[in-house]
Amino acid sequence: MSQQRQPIYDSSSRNSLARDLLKRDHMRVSRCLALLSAALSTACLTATPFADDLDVQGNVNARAVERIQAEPPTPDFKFVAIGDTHDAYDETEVAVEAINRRDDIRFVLHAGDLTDLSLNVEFERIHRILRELDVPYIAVIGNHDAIATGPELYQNLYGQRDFSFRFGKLKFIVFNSNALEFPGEAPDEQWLRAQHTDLQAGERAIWLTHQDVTAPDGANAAEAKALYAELLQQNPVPLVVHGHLEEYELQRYQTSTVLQCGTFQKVFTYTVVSVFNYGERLEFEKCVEDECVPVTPEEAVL
Amino acid sequence: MRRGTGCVATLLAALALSVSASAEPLQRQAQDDTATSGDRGQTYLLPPESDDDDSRDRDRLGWYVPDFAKVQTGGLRGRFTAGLGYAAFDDVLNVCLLYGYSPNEVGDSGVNTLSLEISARPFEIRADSLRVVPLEVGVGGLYAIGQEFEVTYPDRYSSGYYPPTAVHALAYLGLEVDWVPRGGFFERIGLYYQASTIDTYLEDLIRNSETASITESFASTIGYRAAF
Repeated sequence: MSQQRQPIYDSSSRNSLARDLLKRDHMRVSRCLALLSAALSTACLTATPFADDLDVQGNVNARAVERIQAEPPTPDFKFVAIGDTHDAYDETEVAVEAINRRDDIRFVLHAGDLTDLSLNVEFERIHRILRELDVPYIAVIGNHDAIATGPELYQNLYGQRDFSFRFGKLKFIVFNSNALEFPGEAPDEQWLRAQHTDLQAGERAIWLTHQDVTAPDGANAAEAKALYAELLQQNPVPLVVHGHLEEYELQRYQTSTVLQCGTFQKVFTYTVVSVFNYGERLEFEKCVEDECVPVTPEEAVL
Repeated sequence: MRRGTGCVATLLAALALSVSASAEPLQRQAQDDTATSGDRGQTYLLPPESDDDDSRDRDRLGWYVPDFAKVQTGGLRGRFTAGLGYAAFDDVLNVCLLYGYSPNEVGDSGVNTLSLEISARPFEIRADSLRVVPLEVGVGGLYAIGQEFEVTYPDRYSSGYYPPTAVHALAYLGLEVDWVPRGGFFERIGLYYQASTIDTYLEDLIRNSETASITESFASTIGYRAAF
């Protein structure tokens, strides 16, 4: 073998033979590359962090409503409100485990900002933690869930941005209030008004939204604030649950109670809301892990 | 509401350019050395006979000609990605600009990305015509092209309301196995593997020791690199 190779390299045709050898090796390398590409799954060869597809099952909110309504409603029940979990995955998991240790919670409401940058990985991670809840959870879109491809990702995972569902004589109205991210679209005044016109005699409503209804953002902030105030004044809405702002607050506003869940990254707090007679009376417990203390709404200084 | 951290892509781009500029005299010197040892002024299609030449980057085609080309898949830089780069300090330092395309990843269309990387490849193991680069450490910036992704935000947002969604800092660790032909156009051809991450993934990993996993925080790249 070596006797054959020696003359090749010594001959004048060294360059053309080298090219042939190179070509042959190129083909070998190409074959190896094809095999390697086929062998490795696409999951580990993640193409882009900007994608709007998801690796988890969608329709989370619709499936949660189905689960909630599968069991007969009771006038007295408890639910948990939480918000702005962002990238606090460890702390959210601790809260999920604490909620699962209780046996008196019917469902969980998330007030939005499930993510920081609306990346698909962020949506997947928070959902993988929240789906470990023993009870269904419903999430409204937050402003951080609505940048880049966030609106598509939210829709793919959770469904419609505005929707409502009934639990006995209580109607939960879940709506997008992120006016900066959806200028001219949010809040959808017509839809929101129709939801209240639709209220039956003796029914009450609870709002779940992301922005502070007492001080909304956006170019149409004044109009939005007036709309919210009017709807709260004219309809039996005993509770508004929202997120967006850092601090935890529970305050009276119009004839309602407004629960500002607080940025979970900072306050690590979830709230247990006890509902009596479909919202005739409400009680609140502010909880960190298994420690819960009763809280009462303060009169808002607006 | 949370204010995110900024990206360092601009800084990295400036660093990459300065490294490229500082490498220039060295490469010119190498070119001059090659020319004086062989026939001055001759353009080589193949390298001159030099069995004792252990240099990793001979820079035969001129300092301004890119030193290597890459094609790769995965690693957050695109499903189909190609790039050109320069090697400096005898291939210890690389700078590479890559374009990536990921079809059907955003809506019904794809997403186009650009990435600029600078990497250090301080070690090599050589066995005959096989060369292994056991460690490559790279940092860079990743930029998504498309109206969905923002570098700056409209005036309705206050300054710094969100970090840019179009730009991410990038980091990776790699391994490369090269075949070094004894002649021909290419100095080396080989396969590489990289584990890549971006700022957001890394922040999440550091912040969430219980729930975040390394495998979720890094994405694999498989690539083919030809140096010339």
